[in-house]
Amino acid sequence: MIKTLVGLLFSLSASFALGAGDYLLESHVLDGGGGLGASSNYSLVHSISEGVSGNGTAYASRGGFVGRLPFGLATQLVLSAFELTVNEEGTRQIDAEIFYDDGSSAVLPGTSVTWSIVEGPLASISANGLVTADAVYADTTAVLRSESENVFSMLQLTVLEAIEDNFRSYAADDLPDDWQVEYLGIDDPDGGPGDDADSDGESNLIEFAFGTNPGNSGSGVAELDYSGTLAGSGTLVATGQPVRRYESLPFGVDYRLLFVRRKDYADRGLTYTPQFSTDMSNWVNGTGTIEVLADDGEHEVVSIRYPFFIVGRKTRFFRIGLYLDP
Amino acid sequence: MTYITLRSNPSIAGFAAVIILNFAALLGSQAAVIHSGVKDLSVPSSPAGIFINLETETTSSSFPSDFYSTPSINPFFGGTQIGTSAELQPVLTELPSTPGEGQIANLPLGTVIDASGVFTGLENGSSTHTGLGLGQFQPGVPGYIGFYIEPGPSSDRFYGWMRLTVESGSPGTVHEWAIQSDPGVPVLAGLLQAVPEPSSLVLLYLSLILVLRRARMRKESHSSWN
Repeated sequence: MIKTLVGLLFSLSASFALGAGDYLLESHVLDGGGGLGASSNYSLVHSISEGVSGNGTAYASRGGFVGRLPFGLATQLVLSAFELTVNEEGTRQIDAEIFYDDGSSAVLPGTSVTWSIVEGPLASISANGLVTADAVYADTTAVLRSESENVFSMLQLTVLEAIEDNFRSYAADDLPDDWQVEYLGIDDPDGGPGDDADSDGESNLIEFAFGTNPGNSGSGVAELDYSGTLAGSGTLVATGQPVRRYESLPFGVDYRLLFVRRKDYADRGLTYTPQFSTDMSNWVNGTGTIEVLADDGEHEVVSIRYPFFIVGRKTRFFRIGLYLDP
Repeated sequence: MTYITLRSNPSIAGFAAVIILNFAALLGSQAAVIHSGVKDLSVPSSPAGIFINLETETTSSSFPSDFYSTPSINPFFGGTQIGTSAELQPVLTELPSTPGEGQIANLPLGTVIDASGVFTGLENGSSTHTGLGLGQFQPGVPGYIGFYIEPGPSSDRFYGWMRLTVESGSPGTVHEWAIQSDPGVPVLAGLLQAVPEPSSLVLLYLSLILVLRRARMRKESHSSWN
């Protein structure tokens, strides 16, 4: 009888009371969706918009799937993110969607999923799926895991090297982390700019500036190797210590000091100042134009005129002053 | 400075010097020019060159610790660069605008080297004395440096000269040098005599004429033998 009345209600699409000898249909009000109403003899509860969950004594509704049974079998959990990368020390929201055996699926709230870090430089993942990345020295892969309704899934993210000088014990020391790790490994206690990891007498900063290997004691003391003339168009065969070079001129000598300089020296705040002395006590800055003779992509070999004399005395010593902007 | 122009032929000049030295003795001069003898020291075409102490006549291929406290000269890069201590003052072409950067003059044979020369009294580095200009050394052609030395603690000046061939790209040569034995007495570039008094110049010229004539006669004599 109640079902009949309900069916009649739908068919009449009316909102007023009907009466007869055998029944009484009380007046009632239906909502705009046409589905919510109640009387002393019946109740009607159902969802009125897609994507809203609801339930009643006789039905269960989940978003978009009116009337789907509540105990479907989850078959797959799929994780996704706006991009599968995250900057080091940055965050990325991970989303989870679950698929059921009836072909339906649902986007799960992050809190409905259990999150864990499998491997890689991830500092944490919150209860709602927000990943926070660790500092890295180079782009590095990380893997996280999630589980819900007895299915789980893995997601691989790439933690991007976005901050050059923030990695562990090498952080904020003015040397790029990837350079330190490449030559000294991770967390070398002698890896700072003023340290001399290979005990060759040249600090790590000096070796960085002149392109030598701070982990090889033979590298820092070797002279640079440039094949070519002082006019340029040569090749930087090997980085190393500054050298003097000279070539004959018709009535004299083209006498120069050659040294290696990083091509990105200006961006790094490095300043190279060639200096000369007659006695190792008093130094004067070199004059003249610094000319680029060759480069290997990362470093360049440059030259500056080597003064024969300084105030009447023979120039016997040279050095390269290296300054790092604070 | 007075120039006495002679033909720049070292062999004739050397021969003439011996004759003239005898003349000087005849003229009653007490001063003598002390000759090093022919040295022909190689001046490497390297940054080091050669270091010569004109007081002790010692040489070195490395920088001596007493270089700037002794009358020393350091030609290097084949002689295209010449450093001198304050104890050895070379004759310059002119007073340099920057102290210590004077250009050493290439003096013609017979140039009087005396107090009228251009000296700075400072240590000096000469880098521009090689070339084709007046007063420059031409590569491969011997020339003369005039100088005075102040050996020891005294301020006495002893004038002298040095015969030098500079080369660019190959070793140069320091052939010889000579220094007046008495302080303040001039010398003639390339010659081993004291500068004669003006009245003696006539005799000097006569002796030179004799020398040149004798040289010509010897040449003609050799030609007739051939």
